[in-house]
Amino acid sequence: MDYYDQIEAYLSESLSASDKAAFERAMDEDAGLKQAVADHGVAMDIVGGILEDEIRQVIQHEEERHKGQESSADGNRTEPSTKSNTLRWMRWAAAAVVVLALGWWGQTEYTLRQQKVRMNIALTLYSKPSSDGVRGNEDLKDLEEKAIKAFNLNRYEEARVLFTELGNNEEHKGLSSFYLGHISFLENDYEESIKHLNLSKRSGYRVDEANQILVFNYFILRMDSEILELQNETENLIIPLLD
Amino acid sequence: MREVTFAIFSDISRKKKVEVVNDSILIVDQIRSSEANRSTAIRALVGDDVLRQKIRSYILTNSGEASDAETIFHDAIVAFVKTVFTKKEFRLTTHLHGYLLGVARNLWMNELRRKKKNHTVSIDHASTSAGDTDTIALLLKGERGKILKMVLDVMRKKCKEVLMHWASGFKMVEIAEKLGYKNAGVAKKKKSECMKELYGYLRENPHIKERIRPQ
Repeated sequence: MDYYDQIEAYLSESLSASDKAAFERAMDEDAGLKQAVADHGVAMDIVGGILEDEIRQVIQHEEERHKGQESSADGNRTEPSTKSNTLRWMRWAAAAVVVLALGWWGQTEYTLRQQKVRMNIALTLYSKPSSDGVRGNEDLKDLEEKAIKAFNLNRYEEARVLFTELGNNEEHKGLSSFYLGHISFLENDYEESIKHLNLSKRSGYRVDEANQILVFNYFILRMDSEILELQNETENLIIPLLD
Repeated sequence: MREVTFAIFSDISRKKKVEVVNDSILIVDQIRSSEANRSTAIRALVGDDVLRQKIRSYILTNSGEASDAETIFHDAIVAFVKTVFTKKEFRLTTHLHGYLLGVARNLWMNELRRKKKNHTVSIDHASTSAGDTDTIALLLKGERGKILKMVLDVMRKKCKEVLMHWASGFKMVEIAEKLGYKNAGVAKKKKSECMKELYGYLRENPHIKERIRPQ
């Protein structure tokens, strides 16, 4: 007989006289056992409530179902016509507002997307062929080739990891920052893009192209004064315009 | 062969169907057989507008309000189902409505005594057969009830089923058969496991013990 079975047997008075006496001695010596016997009463209260809980849940559910049916029956009655007309008009008005808002948002998004596509095309046309001849050991060269290949194949996550690793080498910091800035721009992280591109400019790596991407970042973030500054630095910058 | 008559009618004003169980024996069997059948029986009782109206009339003519009538109607159903389920020797010897009205009257009298109101309550001795129903401790009320309910919600369904049957006086053999356990030994083991879980929960939440059973 285990611990709990003993407690139940004791409380239901089904222990023999000698077992009962032994159990009571054990309770006197063991505060934990004494507490467990007291807890049993609470447990039995809980167990006793299971059936009642089940019954009340069914009753509650059934009453709610009836009330739901009553409400829908009431709702079928005809309302005064002026009240229903007003409600109908308000619903149409609300729907119209939602449609207009969606349309405006959609148009703004579409316009911005169009602009970004044009910016990318402009970047491609503007970019001079890269002369990223890396002098250094073979590993770094391999890493650079892999990173640029990943970038060209639009595998930006992979490219980001590779360029970050490349950036640990001082000689490749400019290159790494430039590409990380370009990837950030393509992934809509404009502030991050600005940070990387300014770093790459300090290294003197592809400054004009960095400026071009910076213009696009500043344009999206509406930083007009920064755009003007860059126009002084770089000739023939493409400044996007809204149609 | 028992004959069962079901009367199904539409309540035109509320547009719902109510199933009236006229066979007392059937409803007792339903309550004892399974959880699904028990739920069906309870739903039939809740939807019995004739019974509801009888109890409501009695309460309203004996110093009660509409909310009291609804409470007593529900409590009478709870008391009846618990009695049927836990007392295997129980037999319904009168019409179901008569029995439940008697239960409701007992409950309301106890409630009035509790509220210490002075009034005269008429008792129709002929129609009451609620002698079996003592003052029924309805556990799930008030703050204590909320705590109990919280604990019950945590318990696994299988545990609730086996413990409920065990607490209602079913033997392990009966529990095994009803709940699909291999034998009485497996049912007993399941019951022990469930009790241990419950003890463990109470140990981890001593504040619950104090609120269910104040020291």
